[in-house]
Amino acid sequence: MRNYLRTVITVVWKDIVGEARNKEILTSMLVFSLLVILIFNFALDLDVQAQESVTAGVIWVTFTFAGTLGVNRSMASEREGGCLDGLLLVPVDRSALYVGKALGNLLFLLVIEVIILPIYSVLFNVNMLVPGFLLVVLLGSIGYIAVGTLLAAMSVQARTRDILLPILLFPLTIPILIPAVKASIGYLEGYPGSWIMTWLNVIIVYDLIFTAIAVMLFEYVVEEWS
Amino acid sequence: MEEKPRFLSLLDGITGILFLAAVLLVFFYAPLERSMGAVQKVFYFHVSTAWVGMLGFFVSALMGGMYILSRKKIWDMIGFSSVEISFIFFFIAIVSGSIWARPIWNTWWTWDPRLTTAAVVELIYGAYFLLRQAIDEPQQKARFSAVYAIFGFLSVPLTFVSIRMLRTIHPVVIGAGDPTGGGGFSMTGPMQVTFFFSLFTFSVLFVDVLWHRIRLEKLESMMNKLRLELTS
Amino acid sequence: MGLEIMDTYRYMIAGYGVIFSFILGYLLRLFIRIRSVKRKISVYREMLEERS
Repeated sequence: MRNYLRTVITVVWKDIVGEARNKEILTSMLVFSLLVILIFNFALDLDVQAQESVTAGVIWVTFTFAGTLGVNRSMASEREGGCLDGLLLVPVDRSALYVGKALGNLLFLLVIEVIILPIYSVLFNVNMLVPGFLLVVLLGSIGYIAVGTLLAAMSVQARTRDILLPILLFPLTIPILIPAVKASIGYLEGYPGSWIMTWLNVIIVYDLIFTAIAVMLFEYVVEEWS
Repeated sequence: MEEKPRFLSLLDGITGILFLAAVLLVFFYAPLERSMGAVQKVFYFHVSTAWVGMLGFFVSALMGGMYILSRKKIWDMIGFSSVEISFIFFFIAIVSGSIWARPIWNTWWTWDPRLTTAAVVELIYGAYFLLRQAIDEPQQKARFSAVYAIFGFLSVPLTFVSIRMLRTIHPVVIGAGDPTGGGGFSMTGPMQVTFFFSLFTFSVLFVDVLWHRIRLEKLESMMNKLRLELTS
Repeated sequence: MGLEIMDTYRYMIAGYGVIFSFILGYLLRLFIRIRSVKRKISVYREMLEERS
């Protein structure tokens, strides 16, 4: 158990240190998110009346795209000679490597979210500091990253790499995006709690089921990692 | 290996007879539904094709699990074959449903839970083919498809539930719940007979086609082996 | 629902047309593929025998 935890922490720490050195993932995610919001601003004409109904949608699409980018990049750098290769040679539980990678990815996405949400609030004059909404963002990100990390580990080993990940990931994460958008709208617009709870439940169930399966199946994905 | 197994020929015959019988039941035995008239008859094969679709996706997830546990190539072959068949049948279900919806709901497509789920499911398994295509090494291909088939199948119920929580207009024909949209009806005796007979027929059809498809897969791997021998 | 009788038959025929043509099309393609693979196998076999 202690060994397991140490492996997880090693992997997360390695990602953080690597990121602190070159800031590759975070900057590209951040710039990309801002661009997405900018594009939405023009495409949907996000004035004060219109944006009330689409805020949650825009936010989640932004996080989804940014998340794909981050997850993909972090796995690709592993393949280009990161230290996952080395860790795979050591007899540690593979799922610990998965948990570590997923936590690292989740951390990066959360950092982006923490930066983007206030910017969005300022730009479009919406109050996003609703505790419930932040909870939805956290829970939604967990499920999304859990599946994304596993699928990215597969897609970086494929020939089509970067194109493949969104194609694999988006249809699988629809059951988390719909409730996440709905629950976000619920909190931002102050809908009744019971209505929001039904959506939150779906997110939680998704998180639990898919994290568990991803943990179990990860070892089959990295079996002949090279 | 190359000869067709005798039991497969027998199954072909049985499937053909059953299919013919199902067609006859649909067109001549099942009564006309009062308000929808003849279009309602699309329902029998529409539901059956959708059923084959879900059955095949279930089989592929099961085979994915089997492959991961035992690493026998055959499980991958069965899984891939059943996904291919199901993909086609599910597509038929979507198109035939769309044709039914045109006169009944006055639109080819609505973003109703079942329709949307069906579309998402098709996309998932479309991605499954792309994944297989993108990987050359056979064992890796089999492993990844197994993992993705398991993920894909498990996400289907959640997709359905989450979309269902938005309002539905798809008629609920079996089980409780009164249809909220247009096009619901209750089945009379002959309708039920026709319906369940179609379901049964399509299940047999699925097994039959699956068998042929697996045979093709085996023959192809045999061909590749021979080709390799020739070039070496 | 105010449907014309003829209309309902038209849509029924369209629906079953799609169902049958897709199923038959898939089966046809499947059998043609099996056939051609079988033929190739026998050709390769012959070539291998000639060589030995």
